[in-house]
Amino acid sequence: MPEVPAPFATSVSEWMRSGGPSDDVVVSTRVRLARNLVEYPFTPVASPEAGKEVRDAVAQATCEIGRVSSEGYAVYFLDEMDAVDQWILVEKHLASPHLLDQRACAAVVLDDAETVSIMVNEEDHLRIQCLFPGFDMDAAWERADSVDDHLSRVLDYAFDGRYGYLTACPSNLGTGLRGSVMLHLPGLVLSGQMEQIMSGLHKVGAVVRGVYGEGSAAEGNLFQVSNRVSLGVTEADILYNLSAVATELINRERSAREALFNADQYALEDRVYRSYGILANARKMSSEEALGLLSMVRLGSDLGILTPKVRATFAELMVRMRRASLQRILEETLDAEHRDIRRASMIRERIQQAS
Amino acid sequence: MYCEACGQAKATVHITRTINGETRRMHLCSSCATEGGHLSWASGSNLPVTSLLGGLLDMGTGSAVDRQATGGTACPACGLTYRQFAETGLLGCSTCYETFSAAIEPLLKRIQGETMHRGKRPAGAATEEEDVAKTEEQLRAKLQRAIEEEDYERAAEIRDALRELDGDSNA
Repeated sequence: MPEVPAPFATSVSEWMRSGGPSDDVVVSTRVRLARNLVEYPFTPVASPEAGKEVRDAVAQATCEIGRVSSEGYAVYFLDEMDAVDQWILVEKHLASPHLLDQRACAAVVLDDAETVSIMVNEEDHLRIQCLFPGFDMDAAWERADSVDDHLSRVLDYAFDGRYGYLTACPSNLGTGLRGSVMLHLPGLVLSGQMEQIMSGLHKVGAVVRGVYGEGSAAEGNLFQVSNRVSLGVTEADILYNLSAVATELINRERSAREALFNADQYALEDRVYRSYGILANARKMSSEEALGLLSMVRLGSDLGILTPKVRATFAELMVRMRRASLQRILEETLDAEHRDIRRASMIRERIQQAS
Repeated sequence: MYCEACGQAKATVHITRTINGETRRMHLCSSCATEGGHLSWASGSNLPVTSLLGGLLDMGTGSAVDRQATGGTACPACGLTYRQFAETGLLGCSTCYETFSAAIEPLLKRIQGETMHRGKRPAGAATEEEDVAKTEEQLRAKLQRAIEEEDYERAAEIRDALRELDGDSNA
């Protein structure tokens, strides 16, 4: 373990803060652009030497942006980082687990607020990601578009007039754009509507999956909705359609919550307060259990049963209680049992502070 | 052969993935392959959807695509073979899009619904009109070649692509 942990290991990313648009339902909005450099083979078949050259070229290009604009970036090479810091990037949604598979040539470029995270040598040479709190597609797109414009002046992108931006997988071809909205949907899950909605979304060009775990019983009732198609449509149309789908889900979730509350107020309040009671008092807690209880407490906060401050801790706790982040905060290596003990104590403290 | 994940249904999807230089092959039933999350790859990450794309390619139909597969066409720039592309669903470099265009066009129709980019362009790239004109020229040359080779299935596909392009530029 390094003596000084990486700056991102203990910082709070912008998306983890509350107060974004529609943050009663939406946790965060992400826009991702896939880009490749024309003179190198794509990452999955590139030699380690070629991979390292790509990494160096992107690192240099981001320094260049820092010089010509007010945007400053830090570059982190994965092979110079210990395993705990690598996993913290994944827990904070700044890198994918797949990037860790490529660690020999992989890098992550972050801005100060951690709204921009560029994965280098994931499936594509560059995955420019912009992550904002709440439902804020415009902010996420404008930032990604601007970073992409800056980089395209310094780097020679693989681009074809007919196919657009060339990507390792044809499913990302064209715009290379994937927009995602992370939604907290306890109302739709509790009222049993999620399964039907998930199958219906496919027909309108959207894909939905659980953020943690698969299917309609996703842990923490957290779901990610993304666009399916990236070619033959403009970026504006892709994001407009995705926003329309997300807006529909937000409205349905709000109605479902209201209906649950009106149908049996005491049952809902009981569930919220029991969850709160466990979080505020338990001495041992797994991350699965914590996620489920935090979801109920957040719902209670959204409905005015609990104070809004509780909601403000949600995204941060969701990350902090994960294995690697917990280990870094406590500065010690823990076995599973001790981790559960320390997790319970950290959550207790934060939940009591917020109420 | 039975599915490695559930052990109950017949394995119909065969996936190869290379992690840290070690190649693993998995044999799955279609439902386990779609649910990917149950699988324990060494990395612990979910099974990428990309590896399923290979299954969408036209194999065993006697088409031009199939001949590429059996003929072992390889990309002159990066050396990726058609078989490797079919297995992973991933291309090796920019030139692969040209090398395997006969297979990629119908695949794009299926997964994307469209084959012509309409989004942003990098600084300094040609305009959309210039690119449409260039693409049209290339497609006409390919059409001519397909007709000379008496590959009428491929010729019909190219003709459809040309019509689509024409429709787009008039739109």
